[in-house]
Amino acid sequence: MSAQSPSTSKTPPPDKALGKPEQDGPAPVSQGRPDFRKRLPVWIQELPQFGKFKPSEPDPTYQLLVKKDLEALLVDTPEEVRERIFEDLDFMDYEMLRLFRQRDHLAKFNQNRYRRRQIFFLALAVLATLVGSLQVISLNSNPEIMPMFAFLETLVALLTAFLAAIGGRESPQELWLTNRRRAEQMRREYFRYLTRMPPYDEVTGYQRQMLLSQRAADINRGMYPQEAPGQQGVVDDGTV
Amino acid sequence: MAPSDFDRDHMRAVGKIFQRFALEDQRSYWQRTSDKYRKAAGQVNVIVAVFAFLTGFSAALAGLLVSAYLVDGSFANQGQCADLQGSQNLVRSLKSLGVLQEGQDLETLESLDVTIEGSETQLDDAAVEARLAGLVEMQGTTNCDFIQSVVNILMIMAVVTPAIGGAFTTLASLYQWDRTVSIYNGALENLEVADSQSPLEGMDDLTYKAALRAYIENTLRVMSEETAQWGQSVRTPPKLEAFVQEELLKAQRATKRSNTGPINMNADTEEPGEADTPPRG
Repeated sequence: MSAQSPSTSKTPPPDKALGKPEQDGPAPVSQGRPDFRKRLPVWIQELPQFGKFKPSEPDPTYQLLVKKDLEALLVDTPEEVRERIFEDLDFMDYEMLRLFRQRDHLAKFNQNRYRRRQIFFLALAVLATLVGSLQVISLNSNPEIMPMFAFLETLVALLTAFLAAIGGRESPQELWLTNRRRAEQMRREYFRYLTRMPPYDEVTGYQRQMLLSQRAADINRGMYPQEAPGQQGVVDDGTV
Repeated sequence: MAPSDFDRDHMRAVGKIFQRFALEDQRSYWQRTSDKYRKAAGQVNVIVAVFAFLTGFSAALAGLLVSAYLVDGSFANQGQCADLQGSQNLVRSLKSLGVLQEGQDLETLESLDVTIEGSETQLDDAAVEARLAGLVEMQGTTNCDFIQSVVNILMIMAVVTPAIGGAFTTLASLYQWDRTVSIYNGALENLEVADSQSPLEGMDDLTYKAALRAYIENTLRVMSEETAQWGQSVRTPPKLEAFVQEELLKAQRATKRSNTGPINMNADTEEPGEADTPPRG
């Protein structure tokens, strides 16, 4: 349901901005690269970046609310209300969005690391199977090239051990999921503050701002405050 | 502007913002990602199936070619290739024994020029020479080398294709496209339930506020539960009525508290009361 028209209604809602999104509607707001491998099959687009991860740093200008769209959305809103909303957004830019950008970027970075590592292992597994099979075939037809295959098989085993050793220090999967959880919690907290949902509904002024700063810092260190009354806070110890 | 008008305008504005930048953005993300993952899963599935087919096909074809052309008594050429192979092996053996000179092969060999040990009798006679000539002719007319090459390629394919197909199966397991699609679809359905609770203009201020809260809280809950367990436990959000009751209680609390000083900022430590616990769907 939209704010002005039931979602079950067959007629379009009076306020276009509140209408249902089309399948080809606006793309979700993201720090990612929307044109990455755009012309290739989807499964290739999903493969990780194998070179240097881009963007290498969080985008300092990234916003959860696109300013241009926001201006258009609030065009009929009284000036007093607009001011209050923009004040909230400005305050959150440092207190919340700065942390969100870092966590979001770290999540993407570690997701890429995790998938890249898994795909390296996958490639080595395929290579080991191939070399082993060719070794068996050559045993019948060309036994003289057996040592070459044996060497390749050893190389594959060594590479696997090498990859496991360099990747064993910190688990990219844990870092990916931990950072993603924190980033998504921050995203929800952002809208909670902006829309004055609990616990921001019963405090005003500096108390409300301090509450946001405190909760943002808690989320950033993995202590999830209760999202709504009646829910218990959760400590994220980084395990998956 | 009167405070109540301001509140209503503010609620309306933040409702719009939430709808556009939280709910619709999330919905757009889930829809697009679901579509993309469904395509990716389909593409990888086709690749796995193609490689599985190629594995079976290459093994079966290799078997057919071997039994048709390359073994003794093969049904397509009556074992010509096997005979030829035997002769070539014999020539190789004779070369390694020094009976034949380097450079000599079936084409240049007209007679074996070998005597039986002790009797000095020539081993090759007219029949052997005729046989040799026949083998030379066979080498020119049959395509045994080509067939053998094809069989070798098919054997390599029979080894390589299952490995590659297995790699794609593992890739699909790594990305869990199908599972993620079902998770996102579940979340999308629950998001529609949350969306259905958005406020309407005809509501009075209290109901409007309660509806807005139900709408936002439930949307955030769907998002939270999807994130928490990648949607495994995405639950249908609570109903609007519970939130209306809650807002009424809150209004009563606010009235009682009006002269009792600042409230406790740390809401986290507040004991959850029964009325504060929205029912789980």
